[in-house]
Amino acid sequence: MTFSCGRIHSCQPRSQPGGRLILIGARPWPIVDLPGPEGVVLGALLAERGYRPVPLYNALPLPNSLPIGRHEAVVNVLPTLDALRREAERLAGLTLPPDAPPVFLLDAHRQGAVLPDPEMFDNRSVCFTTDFPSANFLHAHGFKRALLVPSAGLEAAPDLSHLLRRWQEGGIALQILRSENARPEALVVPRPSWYGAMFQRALSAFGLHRASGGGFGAWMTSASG
Amino acid sequence: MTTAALTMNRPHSCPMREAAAELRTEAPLEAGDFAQLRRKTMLEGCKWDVQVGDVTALAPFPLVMKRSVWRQLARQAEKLDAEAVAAEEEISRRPDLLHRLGLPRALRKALAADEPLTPAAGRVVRFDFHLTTEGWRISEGNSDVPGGFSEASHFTGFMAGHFPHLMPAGDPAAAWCGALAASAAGGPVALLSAPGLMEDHQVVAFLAAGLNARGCATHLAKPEQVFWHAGQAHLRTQWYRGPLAAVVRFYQAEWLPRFAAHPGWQHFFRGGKTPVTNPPLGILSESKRFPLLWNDLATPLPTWRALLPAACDPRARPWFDDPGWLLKTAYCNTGEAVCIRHLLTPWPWWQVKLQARLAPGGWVAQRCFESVPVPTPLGPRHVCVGIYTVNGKAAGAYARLAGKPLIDHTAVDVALLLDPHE
Repeated sequence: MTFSCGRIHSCQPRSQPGGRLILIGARPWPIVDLPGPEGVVLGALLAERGYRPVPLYNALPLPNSLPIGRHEAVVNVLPTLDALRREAERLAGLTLPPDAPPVFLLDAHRQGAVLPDPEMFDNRSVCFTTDFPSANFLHAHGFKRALLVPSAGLEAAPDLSHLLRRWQEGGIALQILRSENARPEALVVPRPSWYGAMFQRALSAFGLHRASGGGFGAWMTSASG
Repeated sequence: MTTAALTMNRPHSCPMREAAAELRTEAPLEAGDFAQLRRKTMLEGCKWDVQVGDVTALAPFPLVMKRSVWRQLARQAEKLDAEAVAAEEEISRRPDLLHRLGLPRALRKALAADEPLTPAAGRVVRFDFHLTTEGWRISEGNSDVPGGFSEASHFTGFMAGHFPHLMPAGDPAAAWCGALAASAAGGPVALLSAPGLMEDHQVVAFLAAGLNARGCATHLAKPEQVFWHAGQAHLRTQWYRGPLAAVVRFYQAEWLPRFAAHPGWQHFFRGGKTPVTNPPLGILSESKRFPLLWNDLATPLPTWRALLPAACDPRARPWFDDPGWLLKTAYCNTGEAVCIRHLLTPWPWWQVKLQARLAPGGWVAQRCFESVPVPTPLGPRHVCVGIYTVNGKAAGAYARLAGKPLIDHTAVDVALLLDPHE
């Protein structure tokens, strides 16, 4: 899906005068969970409307210089890096206020779009609740609503659902924008498996916590999982 | 990897004034200076988790220790390491003791095998010291996969640049990379970590940069991509296929047996010819159940006995109804698996007790100590000073501050600087 600003305009209240800040009414905190470059572009578009993009791309590119055209990494982050470089120039021309609301940018392909080859550079990643502010923090800054922008047809990713569930329990109203021309819909996140489990890392280490998306990384190792 | 420390915060007679005699802080940097330092730490120092939830993970001021205190702690860390090495060697010859450390069965078997130990490319350990009402004490030694190098070296070095009258306690990353590069002798080095764990990736990326600067080719990989042929480690990836001169295993030893189908993982411990770090026996003193073996060892451990609080098997009763004890797993590498009764609500504490009763061999009860908070610009903070030893010599420190008497992922990293005139 190629993204255009129209998808975000669609959630602008009709009564909103063409102000600089879209979505200004209840000021949601958007979480953009789109394939890397698309998310970067949308983040930059939102920056022009007063949001501060917060990239949360937790994947390394393969550090070595490599021949072009090979797929050494499970997650190809190079297009995301290119988009960040490109859009950073646009951001440099903006003056965002210190209290600009954030828009969090995640790569929808962070856990890999294809089954990884065992010899690939395994740079899959997950997001954790600690990558985001708490519901208390949102309340303290007057935010009552969060808006998830996933790839078309998708729901909240398993790792993200841990965060959204916590926010939901903390009194933050959740919405989802399912397609480019849709309006935001209410989102109710069910309790993820192992939600709130103590010792997530220990569970992971003991092999008790794999692929549920809320714990730590070792489950991704294909030989053990 | 972050390391758990644990303390108990009871009303204590030791005032913060006394703590201030050991430690103090300087004024915070100007906002602009700190923003620049933070950015450099992220972009040049591979410190990618500078924000954890609502907490900024870097303190804008240094923690200052008297040089005389540092010398004393550094000496103790070196003694702790020497004693641990001797104890590990003795335990490795005693399968009956191996059984009591909480190791996975397959790893126990690998360690007890007759083959010679895989050589070490070096040894780095971090001992976590806490200021308590009884003086400095340790909560643990991290002898398997200690992390924190970027914070202890890069961030601390930058902070020191703003305080010319103070000095860093050392540069553990430089010392460690120097030792690794010497072992690899310019050959290719694989740095292994768990996929999906960014806080581990940042450590290996930082170390790789240090090794590159010393002329070593480096490869970031995962353990399943290492194959062993006649004891020689080979990397099999799309970007490099061939032998390795050294392997940096930034991957917890107790996780490796999960690769049961992967041929030769045991060579990380025995039968390998390619040097691996940390040494295979480091996992023995990494166990939080290590103190339970002391009375059965011929090796004297006077420094450990003096500095580590008493520990007991969860099957022993003292801890059960006594709030002066806490529970942690045998291989807890983060504060999440450290369970302090008064920091938990009754239900989680009940769950912990149940788990410890169901699998007591994987847990240990440890007596709490009373941490003394230090006055800081953030308010009173509990301090953990992790002192590194590299090949037996003290090499610097990774310091953290916490508002509660538990050092976990919410703790704030702080640069430890020494006052050379004290």
